[in-house]
Amino acid sequence: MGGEFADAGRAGAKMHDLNPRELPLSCRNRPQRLWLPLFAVSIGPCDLATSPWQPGVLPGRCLDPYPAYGLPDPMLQVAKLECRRGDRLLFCGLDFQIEAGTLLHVRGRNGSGKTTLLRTLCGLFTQDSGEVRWKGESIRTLAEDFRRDLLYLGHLNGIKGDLTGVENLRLAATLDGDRVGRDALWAALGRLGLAGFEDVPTRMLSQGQKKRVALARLILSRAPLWVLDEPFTALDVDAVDLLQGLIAGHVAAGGLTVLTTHQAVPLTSGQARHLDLGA
Amino acid sequence: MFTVFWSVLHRDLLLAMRRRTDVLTTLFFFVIVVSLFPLGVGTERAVLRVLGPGVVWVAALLASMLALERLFAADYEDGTLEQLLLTDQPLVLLTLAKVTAHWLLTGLPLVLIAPLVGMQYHLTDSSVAVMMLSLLLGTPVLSLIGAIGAALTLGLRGGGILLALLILPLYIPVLVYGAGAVTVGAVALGEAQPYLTLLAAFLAAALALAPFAAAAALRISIE
Repeated sequence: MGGEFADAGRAGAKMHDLNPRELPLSCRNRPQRLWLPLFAVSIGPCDLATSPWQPGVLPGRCLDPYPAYGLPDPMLQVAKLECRRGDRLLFCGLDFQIEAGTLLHVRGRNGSGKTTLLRTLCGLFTQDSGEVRWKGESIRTLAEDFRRDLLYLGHLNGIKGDLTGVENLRLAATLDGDRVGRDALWAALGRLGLAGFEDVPTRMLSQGQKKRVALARLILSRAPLWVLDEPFTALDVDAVDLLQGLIAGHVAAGGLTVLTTHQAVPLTSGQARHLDLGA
Repeated sequence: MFTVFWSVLHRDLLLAMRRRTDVLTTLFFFVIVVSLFPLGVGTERAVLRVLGPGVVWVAALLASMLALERLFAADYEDGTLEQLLLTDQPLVLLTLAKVTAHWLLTGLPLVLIAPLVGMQYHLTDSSVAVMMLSLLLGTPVLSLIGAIGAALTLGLRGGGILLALLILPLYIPVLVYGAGAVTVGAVALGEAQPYLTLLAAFLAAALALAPFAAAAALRISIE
């Protein structure tokens, strides 16, 4: 079905059999129940019932979970995308679309264009030809409306070494347009295992801890689309589980996640769509 | 919108306060250059009075250029610049916030040091007043125009000299009128008015146009 993907995922085949458009409307907005029990089995202790991520729990913050979700399917569309880096053609004729409540895992060898694809999806990189559409409109036309719905974590952490974790997170939240109270910031950092390190300048933290500070944005963000470039690098086992829980919760609530990773994590070997570049 | 402007401005000022060496380097460079000239040229009052305005303005120019390389480079290197590009706030506003922070840290101190420099060059009181005013109007223009150059040369090797080549031609009118204002102002305060008005016009034009150019250049450079 679909034929939008260069190579459909093996474990993901089950999900593809169920065409969201054929479901009655009331089913669409509920979490994808078919893969939920499979997912819980595959990653063991970190199942969604005890997921660390729960909307509206952070103190001092009134969360209105994802008002944009459940709207037009598909949410993110890529049409005939072609990208070059210098003289090298990375990919051409790339077509796919993903709906709400999907996790897209972009796979490929080093240098196959995964990061370039992710940056093109965000609008940071201009493609040679083709279009990226969000909710049916080109992201160039949408401009800030698209950026409001987007959260991007790239290779670089996007945090300042001379600022403390709390200051970094407060700035990130302000730039996202949220008014987040002090308690919520400290709670978010605590949830990521940084209790006691919140008010230390981040240049004094280890690589993994810096990554955790960068990931704290995921807890506070209300953006439906997450684009994560190698989010599992430098994280220890606990943090990997934590991050998987965050992403799983986000997708279960109807958000979209596009990520690349070289690590074999249950999240991507479970029910996830796959896109192979350079195949 | 104002919250975001203030957040970015506050962040840059906070970062500069925590790494004071960057800010003080610019200031000391200015002081050193300005102090070296009397040693090289001789201490004759008449000569110093004639040279003073030009030397101060050239030193202000060079000091401003020295600080410009770090305007966007630090953010580019740790990934915060792409996060700034991905907010739903207008990039023009964020660029303006960064340039304002840059001016407050490198331009405003020059204005405040001007009286001391005036003493060194035996300038009259009205000269010093005109010098402070011309620097107050001119240094923001230097920061604004320099931001365009800094955005264009972001991430390039040898960016420093390329930056100088790009923006020095644009700095020349500011230099000419700024130094001219002080020279003419030694005679009488009112004589400098046309020069100062022109500097104010440069400032208005730069404020209106430079942030847009710098924002566009940033989007190009980040690719």
